[in-house]
Amino acid sequence: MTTAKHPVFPLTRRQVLKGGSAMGLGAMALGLTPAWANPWGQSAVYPQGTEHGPDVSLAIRRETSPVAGKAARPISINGTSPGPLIRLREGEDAVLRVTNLLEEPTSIHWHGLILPPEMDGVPGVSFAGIAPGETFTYRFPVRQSGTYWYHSHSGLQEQLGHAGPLIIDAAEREPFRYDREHVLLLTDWSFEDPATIFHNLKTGEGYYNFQERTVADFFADVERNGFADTAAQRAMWAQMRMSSRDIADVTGSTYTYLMNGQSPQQNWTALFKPGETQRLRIINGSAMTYFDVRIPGLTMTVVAADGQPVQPVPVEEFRIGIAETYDVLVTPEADTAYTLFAESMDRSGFARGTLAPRLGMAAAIPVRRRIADRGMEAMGTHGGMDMSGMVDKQSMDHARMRGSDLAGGQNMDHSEMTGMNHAGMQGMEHGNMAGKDKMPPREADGMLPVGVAQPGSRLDQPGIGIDPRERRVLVYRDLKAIRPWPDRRPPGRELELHLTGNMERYMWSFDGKKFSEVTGPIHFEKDERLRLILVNDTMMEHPIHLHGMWMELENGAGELIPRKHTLNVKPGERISALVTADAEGSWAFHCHLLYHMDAGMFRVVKVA
Amino acid sequence: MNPKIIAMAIGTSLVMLAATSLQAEDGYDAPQDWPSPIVEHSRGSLLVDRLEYATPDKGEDALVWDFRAWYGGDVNRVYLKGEGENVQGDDEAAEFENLDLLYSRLIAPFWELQGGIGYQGGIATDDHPERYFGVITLQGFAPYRFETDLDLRVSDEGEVSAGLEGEYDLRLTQRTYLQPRVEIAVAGDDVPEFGIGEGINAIRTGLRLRYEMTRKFAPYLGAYWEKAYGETADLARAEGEDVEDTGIVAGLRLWY
Repeated sequence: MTTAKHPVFPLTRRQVLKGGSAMGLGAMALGLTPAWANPWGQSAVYPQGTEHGPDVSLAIRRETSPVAGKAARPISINGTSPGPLIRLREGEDAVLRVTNLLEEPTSIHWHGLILPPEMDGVPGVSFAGIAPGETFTYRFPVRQSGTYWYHSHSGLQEQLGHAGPLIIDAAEREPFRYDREHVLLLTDWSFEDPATIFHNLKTGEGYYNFQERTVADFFADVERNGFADTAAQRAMWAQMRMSSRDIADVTGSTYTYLMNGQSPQQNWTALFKPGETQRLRIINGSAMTYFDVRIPGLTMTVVAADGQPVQPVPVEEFRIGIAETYDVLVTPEADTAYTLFAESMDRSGFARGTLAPRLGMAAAIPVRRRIADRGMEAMGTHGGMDMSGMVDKQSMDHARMRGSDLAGGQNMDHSEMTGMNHAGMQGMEHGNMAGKDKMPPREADGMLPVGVAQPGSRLDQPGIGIDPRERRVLVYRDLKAIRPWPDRRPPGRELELHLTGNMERYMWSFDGKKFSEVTGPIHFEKDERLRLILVNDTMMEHPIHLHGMWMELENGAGELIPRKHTLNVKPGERISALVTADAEGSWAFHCHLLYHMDAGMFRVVKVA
Repeated sequence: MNPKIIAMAIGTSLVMLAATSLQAEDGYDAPQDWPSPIVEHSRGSLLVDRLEYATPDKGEDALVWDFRAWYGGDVNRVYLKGEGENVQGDDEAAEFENLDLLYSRLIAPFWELQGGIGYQGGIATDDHPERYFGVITLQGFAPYRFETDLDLRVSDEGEVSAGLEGEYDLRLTQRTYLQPRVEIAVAGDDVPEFGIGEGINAIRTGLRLRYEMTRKFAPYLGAYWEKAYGETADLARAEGEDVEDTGIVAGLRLWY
């Protein structure tokens, strides 16, 4: 297995061998490769490169350093990009001093950490930001454990590698055992300036999409599905002026996907001893990329999601949204190499590493799947749950203007398309919709019981482009907490937010309003228990992140609903989460697709 | 070009832009000296849709251009659009068929309503007759993905005219596009000085095959057919010009 098969990269044998030695320890000292990406993992063999708490100092710089072997100017943290692994211990009081050596303001947000609002690191919401030359000291008690990450919350800096892993060791023993652990931080690097990427998204629709449908696809579909069906399908998309291949806004045409800062060719390698159980802490620290992660030949047991332990789920593949983290256990028995494969959701590229018993080994790289076409579900055919509400809630003006109808809310006749009656918001029979959650009984106040999935959710589906018949794929429905979370109150009220956008103008928003257009924060009452309902009116996935408080995802697991900091909402989907509003103060709430956030898909939540 | 008209148009546009940015609020109660967590910037873009050398069967060769530039935000923008040609070998300087300065507002997800002033005539020379217009344009992306530009003009002499332009991109490969294009000009009045008669003036239709070397740099080859109708055709005949012509073009599509 030591000779690599490279179906994608036409490397010569010599180049492969060179690549093999380049991932050796010696090369780790070169460039900005983070030392926590050490092949022996965090097994105390090579602990250097990790910044251990509780006192940590971090210096933020912009420096010239190669990425994927090419000249680049990333943002580094203590000399590496992505930054060092910060390792804290549950129960201690962390003191993190961040010095800004950039020529512009910066910040660090500790993603997923429950902490005082002024320590959350969002300029303009938690604090003023860190001015050039200044040092800001973050101080907070660490009262949780698990796999998290940190990143800049200033402008588009995150795209330049201003991010790193953050791990908190548990005070009590975790509900699973392992022998060795590795961190896999997935990022997307571009040699283009982030401002240029944003400009291209703003001014040219589909700028980075080189997998659009062509005339050839049309004829292929005619052959497969017949002319009438194909023509009707295409006419529908054309009528709406949308692309069914609109899976990712920014793609492998500009991105090099990195695993621990290393390109697929550089092949970052994690070492194991056969028979040992490896804990892989997988973090999606990318700006714009959903990844589908698998290790051909190994079953991964998911044991934590967003840092929080879950009941073990054996899977062969899982989709990781931007900003999500998953901890998986694998036990490779054979003395052979395995490919750590993270394919971008639109199949335009992949991040890759190797799990091997020795350095210099490589396994076959799986063939990338073809890009999928979005189907009806992307057009908002989620049972019509929100169709009436959507128009009622917003002024028609906004709904039209901001393109709520981009998702087909208004221009299309839904009843015709789905053949369903959309009269009622709830209490409809969805039996004929594939994958629809069975309608639960309603409570007296008209709200669903705690933990029940919303009608219109597709929590039992992995999403676009994954075929669950091919292999066992993780779905949100699989996530179950180890034990119920402390606050077991039913929600006192429901708050519904629509995820909206205008793809053509690249305007993204909540309830049809960009951040610049809203006049006030979203109000949570201190200590209230509320149900946050997210309705995706767009045809893109959105990873929605609430700062400062957990979102308990109502996925049908009853009392054992999992809690997360980032929720992926699929196109046309309607999901809900329970929130205990115990964190007084102002918090950011936004889509974690970096350019969506910057385009206005951002709100402030005020708990008072 | 009348500087007063230009100043007025620019002034109006800037006031409208300023008024819009004043409406924006930070949306929460952070201290005054904190920055906004999300900062929106105005931006500008230039699309040279056609920059081509046309070789007609009957008429003279010509260098033809068709560009649009804008500056502004998501909803409010200022546009400068220009379409014109320089006929080769006629010893006359280049002329604009139209040069429009427009304020634009997004009125529906795919549609912009634009209004402002237009100019037709020579570029800094007296080789061509000149006139000014008040212009209203509906620009957008029609269902089935047709790029559409419908404009209505009233000249400083009160002459009314309208134009419709439509383009469609048929994707042959990820970088190759076949672009049919049609232009129809209609006038409500005779304007013999400009060779315009009442009714349908002319239909121009073309087909261009474009290769996007990058999204921003795309050479193309194409062919077109054009025909003058009614009184416009009569005027052309009287001038000894052809009423129907075909030709080939080679050009570049550029944007920033």
